[in-house]
Amino acid sequence: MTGSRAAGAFWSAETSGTARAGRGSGRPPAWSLAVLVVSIVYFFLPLLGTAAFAFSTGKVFTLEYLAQGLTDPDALGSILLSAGFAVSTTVVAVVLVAPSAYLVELRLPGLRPVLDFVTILPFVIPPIILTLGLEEVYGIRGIFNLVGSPVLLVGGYFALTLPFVYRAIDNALRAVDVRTLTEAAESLGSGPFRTFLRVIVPSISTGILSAALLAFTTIMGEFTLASLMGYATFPVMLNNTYASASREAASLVLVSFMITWLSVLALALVARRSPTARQVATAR
Amino acid sequence: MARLELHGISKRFGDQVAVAGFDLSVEDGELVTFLGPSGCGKTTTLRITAGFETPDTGSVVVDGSEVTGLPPNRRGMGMVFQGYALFPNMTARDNVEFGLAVRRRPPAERRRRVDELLGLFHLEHVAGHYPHQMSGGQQQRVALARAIAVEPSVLLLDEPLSAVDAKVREELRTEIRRMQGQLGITTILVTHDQAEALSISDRVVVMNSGVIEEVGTPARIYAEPRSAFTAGFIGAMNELPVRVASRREGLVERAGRRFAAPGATELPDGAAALLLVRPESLEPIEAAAAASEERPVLRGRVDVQTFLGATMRLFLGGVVWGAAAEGDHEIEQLAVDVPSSAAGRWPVGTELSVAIPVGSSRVIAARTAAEAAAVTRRPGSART
Amino acid sequence: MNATTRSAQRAPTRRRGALVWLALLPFGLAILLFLLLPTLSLVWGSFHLRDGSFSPANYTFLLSPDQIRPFQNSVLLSASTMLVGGICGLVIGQALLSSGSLLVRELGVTFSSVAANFAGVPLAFAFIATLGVAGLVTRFLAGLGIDLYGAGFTLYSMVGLATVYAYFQLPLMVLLILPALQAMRREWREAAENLGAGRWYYLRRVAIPILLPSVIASMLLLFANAFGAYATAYALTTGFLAIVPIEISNVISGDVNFDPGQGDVLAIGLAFIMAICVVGQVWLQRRTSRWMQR
Repeated sequence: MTGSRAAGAFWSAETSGTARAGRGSGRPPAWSLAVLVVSIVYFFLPLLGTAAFAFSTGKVFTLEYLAQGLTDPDALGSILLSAGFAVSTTVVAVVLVAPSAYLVELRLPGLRPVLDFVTILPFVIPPIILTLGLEEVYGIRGIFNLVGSPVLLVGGYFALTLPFVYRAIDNALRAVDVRTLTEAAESLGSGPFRTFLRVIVPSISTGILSAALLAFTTIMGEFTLASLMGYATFPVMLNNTYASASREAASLVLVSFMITWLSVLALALVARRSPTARQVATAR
Repeated sequence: MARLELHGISKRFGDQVAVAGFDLSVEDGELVTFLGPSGCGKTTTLRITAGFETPDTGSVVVDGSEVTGLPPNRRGMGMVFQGYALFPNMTARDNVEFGLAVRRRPPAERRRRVDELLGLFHLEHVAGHYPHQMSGGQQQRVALARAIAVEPSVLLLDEPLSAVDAKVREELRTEIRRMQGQLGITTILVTHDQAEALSISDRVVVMNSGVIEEVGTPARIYAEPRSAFTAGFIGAMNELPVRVASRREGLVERAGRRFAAPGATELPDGAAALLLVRPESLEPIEAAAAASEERPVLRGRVDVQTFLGATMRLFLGGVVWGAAAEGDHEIEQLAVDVPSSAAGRWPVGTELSVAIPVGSSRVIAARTAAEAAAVTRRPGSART
Repeated sequence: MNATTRSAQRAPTRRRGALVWLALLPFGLAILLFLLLPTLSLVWGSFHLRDGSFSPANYTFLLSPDQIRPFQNSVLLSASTMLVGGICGLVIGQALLSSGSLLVRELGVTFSSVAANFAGVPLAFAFIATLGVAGLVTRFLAGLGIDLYGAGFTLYSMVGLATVYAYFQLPLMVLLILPALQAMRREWREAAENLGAGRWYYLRRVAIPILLPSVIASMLLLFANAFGAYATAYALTTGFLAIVPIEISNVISGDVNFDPGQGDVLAIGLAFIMAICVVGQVWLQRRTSRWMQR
C-alpha cells in the first residue's frame, strides 16, 4: 500500500504552516488526554494481537516461530530480493531525478509545470493501474516484450516513487537557491560537472537522503507490482506463507513492522538535520 | 470613551517575572505609550488589560468599575494585534463588520457604520479584497477600523506598526494620532520604537524588566530622563562620567574643574555619576576662545561624519576635558550635532572644541553594571 | 556591437541549451517508457475493440450491473473510511496540539507515520490475528460474553475491510491536517473574543471556514487512497471481494471473463475518480495557501 506514504510526502510541501507556540500556561485539557490514550491503545492493538499469535501457543511463550520464520531460506531470499529491488530503484531514481531537477530549476524553469503534472500522475495512476499499463506495453502481447526482465519492475518502481523522490529533491533545491550557488561556483571557474557534484549535491544532501529513504521503504513494502509480475519479494512471500505457516508469518509481520519503524526513525533523524527534509518527513 | 486604571498588576510565567507592581491611570481620551525593550512586560500588561491573561495580583478598572474577572469578549475593548490578525476568510468589509455582527446590530446600521470607517481609513477601494490581496499598510488600517467599529471604551494597540515598512510606518503613525484625536478614544500603544513613542503619545511609560522606569510627557522624558535606563533608551545621548563635588551647591567635578549641573543636588557627595548631554546641545566654539570659556569644555578629533538631513552628526575621538592639552583621554567617543550647512568647517581629522551650555545637561547616578548590560544588549541602540 | 561578435557570443549559449536538453533525455525517457506510455496504452485500449477498431463501446461495460457493483463497493468503502478516518484524524490532530507538549506532538507524528505506512499484507495479517475468528480481541470479547462473529461481524467482509483501512486512513489524516491546524493563529481567536464573539461564534464564523477547505482537501486524498488500494484488500480476502482494484487485478491475471478493452475501461474509470480527488485537492490547497500568506 504505497498510496498513503506517497500522499503524505507529496502533499505536505504545500501545507506547511507556521507553528505558533502559545504562551499560555496550564495543563493539557482532559479531553485531549483521553483522545490520545484511546489512540495509543488503538495503535498498538493489532501489534499486540500479532505478537500474541506469533509468540505463544495457548499459554506458553515461545520464540520458536520467530526463529523458524527468520531462518527459512525463502524468507531470507525474499528479503534480499526486496532489498535488491529497493536499492537498485533508489539509485536509479536519485541518479535520474537529482541532476534533472537541478537543470530544470536552473536553466528551464518553463518546464516546471510539465514536471509538476508528470509527478502528480502516479497519484492518479495507482500501482494496480500502472501494472495493467505496463503489462499491456511490455507483457506477452505487448509492443516490446520485457517479460521476466527485472528492468520492467525497476522501471515501474521508478514511476511509483517518482512523486516524492522529485518533491524531496526539488524542495531541497529551492531551499538553497541553486542559481546563486551555481553562479558563485562558475565565477570561481568551476565547470558544470564539478559545480553539480561538489557544490549542489552536498548542499542538498539531506533532501537526497530523505528521497532515497522514502523510495527504499516504499519498495520494501510494495506488493501489487511484484505479485502481479511474479516476483517473490518479501510481502509476496509473506502472503504465500500465511496459509501454510501462519505463526511464522505473524512473526515476520512483526519484522516488517520493525522495518517500517526503523525507516520512519531514520527519516526523522535526517529531518532533524535540515528544515526542508523535515517537512517531507513529518508529513509522511 | 473611558478612564482606565491599572492597580498593582503583577504576573509571572513559571519563575519568570513578567510584570511587577504596575500602577497607572490613563485619562479619558489620552494616548499613553508603553515603551521598552522586548521582554520588558509591556505586551503582557496590555494583554492583561484586554483580558487575555489573568494577573496574579492587581486589578483593571474602567470608569470606576472593575473588569479584572471579565472574559475578553465582555470588556468592550478594541485591540489591534501585532501582525494584524485579520480573519483570512473574510474581506476587508466583513472583517470590519465582525464586531457589529456579533452584537447583532441591524444590517442597515452595520452597513452605514462600516462605510463610515472604510472612508475614515481610506479603504473604500479595497472593501471587497481579502487580507492576502492587500498591502501591509492597508491590512493595518483594516485592523484599526475593525477594532474601532464597535466603539470600544479603550483601544489597545500591540506594536501596530512593527510589520510595515519605514515609509508607511511614519504615515500610519500620523494617521493613528489624527484618528485618535478626532474620536477622543482612550488608547494604549505598545512599542519598542522610541521615535514612535515620542512622536504620538500624550504620555510615555518607560518599562524595563517588568517595572515602570518612569512616566512622563515625551518632551519631559526626552529632555530630563530620570533614570540611566531611560537616558540610554531614548534618543542619542552622550554619557560623560563625573563625580559629585558638592551636593549642597549642585556642583560636579571633572579634570580639576567644578561646574554646576542640574540633578547633582539629588546625589551624595563624592558619588560616581553620569553627565548626560544630547548631541544637539553641545555647542562648537573657537579653540582660541576655549581657554576663557566659563562653561565646561570638551575637545576631540573628528573621526566620522554622518549625515542626518538638517544636521550632521560628528563623532569625536580622543576626547579630553578642558581647553588645555594636559587632560588624559577619558571619553571614547562624543557625538556632536552641527547644522549640515556648517559641517564643512570640521572635516574628518580636524580638532573641535565644544561647550556644554548651562542647563542643557543633567546628572544621574552612574548605572550599575547590570543596568548597563541591559541597555547595550538592546539591538539598534541609539546610545552614543 | 556588430553582427559577427553577437553571433559568436550566442553560439556557445545555444550549444549549452542543446546540452541541457541532452542531459534531461534519460530522465524524460524513463518517464515516457514507464509512466506515460503505459497510461496512454490504457487510454488507447479503452477506445478500441478486440478486433482493433475504434469505438467508445467499451465504456458501456462500466454501466453493466456486474461492473456497477464493484464501483459501488469501492465508493462505499472509500467514503466510509474517509469519513471515519477524517473525523477521528481531525480530533486526534487537535488533541496532539492541545496537549501543549512538543514531545507529545512529535511522538504523535512519528506514530502516525508508522501507522500510515504499516499497510498492505502485514496489516491484513495483523488484523486477522487481532479481529479474526481466533483473534486476540475476538477471544477477549468472547470471554466477556460478547460474540463478535455471532453478532454478524466478519473481518472478511466490506465492514471488516473498512475496519482495517481505518488503521492507515486515520493516521494519514493526522499527518495531512496537522499543518493546517498548526497554521491556525492564536490571534484569530483572540481578535474574535476581543470583538465580543463567544467560543461557538468564533468556531462558526472563523475557525471552521478557515479549516474547511483543508479538511475537505485532506479527505479527498483519503478517499483516493482507499479507492486505489489493492494489497490490503487482496491479502485479507484473497481477491473475492468485488472492489475495483481487485477486478483490475483479475484482468491482469488473465481472467477469461474480461476483454482487454474492458480491463482498460475499468482502469480509466478508477483513474478518473482518482483524478477528481487529486484535482480537487490541489485546487483547495492552492486556495488555502493563498489565504495563509500574509
